[in-house]
Amino acid sequence: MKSTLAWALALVMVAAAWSVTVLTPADDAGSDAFVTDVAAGERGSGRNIAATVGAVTIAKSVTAESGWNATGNWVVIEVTAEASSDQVHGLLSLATLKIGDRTYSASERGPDEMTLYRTQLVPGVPQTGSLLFEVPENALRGSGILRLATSTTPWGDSILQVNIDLDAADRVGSTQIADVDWAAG
Amino acid sequence: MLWGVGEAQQQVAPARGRYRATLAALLVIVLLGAAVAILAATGGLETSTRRGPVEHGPQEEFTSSDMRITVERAVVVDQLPGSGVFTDADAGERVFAVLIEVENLDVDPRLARSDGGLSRVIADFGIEGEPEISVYGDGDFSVVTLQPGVPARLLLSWMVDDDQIGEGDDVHLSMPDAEKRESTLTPGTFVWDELPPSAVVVTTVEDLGEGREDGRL
Amino acid sequence: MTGGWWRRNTAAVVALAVLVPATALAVGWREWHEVYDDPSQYHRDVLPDEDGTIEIDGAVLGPAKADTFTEADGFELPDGAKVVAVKIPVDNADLDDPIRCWWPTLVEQSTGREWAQMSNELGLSSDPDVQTECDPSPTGPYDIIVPFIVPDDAEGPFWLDIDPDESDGAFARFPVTP
Repeated sequence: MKSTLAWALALVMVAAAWSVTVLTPADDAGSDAFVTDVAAGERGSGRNIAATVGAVTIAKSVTAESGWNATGNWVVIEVTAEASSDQVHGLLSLATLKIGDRTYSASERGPDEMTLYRTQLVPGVPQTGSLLFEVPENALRGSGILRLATSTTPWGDSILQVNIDLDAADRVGSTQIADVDWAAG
Repeated sequence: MLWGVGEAQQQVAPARGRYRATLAALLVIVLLGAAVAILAATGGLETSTRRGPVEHGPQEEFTSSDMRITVERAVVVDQLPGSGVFTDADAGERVFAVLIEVENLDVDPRLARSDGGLSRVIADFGIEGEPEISVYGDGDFSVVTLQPGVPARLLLSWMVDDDQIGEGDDVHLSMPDAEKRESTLTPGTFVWDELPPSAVVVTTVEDLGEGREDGRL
Repeated sequence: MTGGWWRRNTAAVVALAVLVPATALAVGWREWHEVYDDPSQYHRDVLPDEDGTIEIDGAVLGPAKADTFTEADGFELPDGAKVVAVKIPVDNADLDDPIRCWWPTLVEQSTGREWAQMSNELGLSSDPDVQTECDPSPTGPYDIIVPFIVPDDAEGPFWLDIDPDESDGAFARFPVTP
């Protein structure tokens, strides 16, 4: 009797230990905790960011209003964004595009006014600008996942995640990038 | 002991046997200790396949720190706008710059000046400090991030004195090496562990005189 | 588990009954103390006196005055946005040790939304009369004038927060209604 009880308790404890390992979130679960999926063209909002993804253009050459120019394989994504609650901590500091198993970060090249990347977002007053991604030639097809956040290490903070259809994107030889500006109407 | 059984057994073992067992145990410990000490002194169990760094010339492509690198040219010039190095020609300051093509072979974007990255390139001729890193021809100096699979032409620039290095000098550029591993502190993020350099590029320096306004060589 | 079991294990059970809550208290107090007893973690707001001024870090600030401005006042603004500008006089008791602070922020009391100053975007940053932060080398009393771009739906009352560099976690909070 005593032995049976001991065995039963032991089995229960083993089962409990096993369930703890199963239930424990993965190591990087913190960063995926608050991802909000948003469709392109729709406005998505997280803790301190609200954004709408607009046109996607693939261009061999990009030119800024200042005249700065670069050639390569550029994916240009137009985004309208505002901070939801806090301008001081509302710098658009995370903008990544994952295509296949490779992740690209928005380019810092060119004049600051040309890109929405690392622009301070204003609560309630949206701005429209472009995010430019420089990618290898073989990454220009299929789809990609765009992630936007106002924190570079968004453990437990909001990330907006948008599916980008590269096959449906406009392909042009060269394109002009308008400076970041207040969103129209 | 269990219901009196073990006790009986213990009494049977002779005292002399116990003494011998202790001695044997001590001997094993001493031998193991010596083995560990010798292993530690000679660098551990991992076999080292590293020879000295391999020498390359200009225009030769090689891989180091998960980057495909080709050093194109090394120059010294009075001014190089856009390089991040601001020189006072009256004070005899010049720019020593290396033009390289780099491709990030990793799957994630990587800051050019990250651990094990291009800021760890070391030149000889008394050139000190980490270089300024800029995109060649971009005309504006800002943070450089290497996107995976995208070749980039970069300038590594240092400030030098006008008599420090010149036309015809063979400069040795020690290239950084590193390997990526998952951080034990914050799992899900990665760190780069620096390794001893595995490549050195030797190239002849060109003197470009006053330099151009557009930041090109 | 008979009465005999309890009797045989009395010591252990009593120990458990004492140690479990004691451990919980010890661990819990430690964590609480780290967060709540540390003055640098605490952001205490200091509200104005009856005369509308706040004395903090060796200076007298206020009273604060706020106004709303629109495109009619010559600002280029997007639709749906307006400018709220706040003026705060600053009087240092010791001009050699003036109050230093980063840019003041505007907080909407009802929602907690917080804005940062936008003098650059409004073309005011090169105006020498417009001081948008604490003057590090003042020659006398001066005014801080901070413009913010806020949406039209941002309704007062607001708070204008000034966080001095050295004040042990205290910051000046002026209620303002433009």
